[in-house]
Amino acid sequence: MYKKATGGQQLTIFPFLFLMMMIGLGITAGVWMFYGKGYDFRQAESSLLNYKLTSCILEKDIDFTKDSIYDLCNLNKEIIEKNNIIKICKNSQDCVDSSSPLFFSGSNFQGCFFTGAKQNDAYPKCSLVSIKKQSDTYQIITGSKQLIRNKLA
Amino acid sequence: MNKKAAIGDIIMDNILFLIIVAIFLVFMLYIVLQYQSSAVVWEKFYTGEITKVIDFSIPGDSVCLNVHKATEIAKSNNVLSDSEIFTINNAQKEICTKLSKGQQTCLNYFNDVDTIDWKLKLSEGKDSSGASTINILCFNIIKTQKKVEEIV
Repeated sequence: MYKKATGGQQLTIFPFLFLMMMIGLGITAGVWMFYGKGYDFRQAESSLLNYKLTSCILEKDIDFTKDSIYDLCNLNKEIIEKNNIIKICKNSQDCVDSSSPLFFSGSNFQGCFFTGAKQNDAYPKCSLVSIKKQSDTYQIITGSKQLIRNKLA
Repeated sequence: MNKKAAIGDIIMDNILFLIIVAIFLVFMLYIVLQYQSSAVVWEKFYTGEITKVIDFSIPGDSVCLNVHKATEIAKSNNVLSDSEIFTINNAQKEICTKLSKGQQTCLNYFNDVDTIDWKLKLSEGKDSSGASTINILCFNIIKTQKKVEEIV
């Protein structure tokens, strides 16, 4: 009888932890509702990258067979490969699905333009711009998947 | 004797509960206070804006930004020194902002440039009306040093 009582007393930790979890969730939800999701930098970064590439293609003759685009457009290859996606097509009807682009870095360009995925933070935020240079049409898709990082300091 | 042992167990259980509650409260208080001073929100804002400026710049540019709000928040949160508020890592192309103790917010910039001569100038800038002084952050943009070394 005594042992059973002790066991019952020890079990009270579960409702207690559950209560704390609910309080914690309540506070977190309150803070989140007040301050929102925060600052999403990706759409701005994607547009900036697209602008830089567009200006660069219009101003310079780029050999897309090599990696010279990074040097000519003053882009850091390691950072672009880590945080961004780029696809450039020439005279293409559909650059997103094109299997023979002039240049690409990264993958999952279809994810950029899924209608249902616009609210999903897991997908990159992208920009698509078409430009004309001489008689050719270039389509430039850029995307950013870089999330703001919090570090201990 | 048995009763005493039972009382001891109850006290131990309650102390355990109290310790868990104390840890939980300290943790929640830390999160809420960080948001209350808006440090987290402003850290993200300043890191993002500085990154955008660097991405948009070209070697030879000199940049000065109004960071008055950031310095005020950092001071109210006792961030130890001015040089801790904004830090740059040219090798990793990373900007970090720290407006509260214990954490900083970081982003990478894709522009292949280095930023040098970071200076936080206190009360050296003017606000839009020109009436009062503000704190500004100034830096210069140069070609990335790695490439210069490779060429040499």
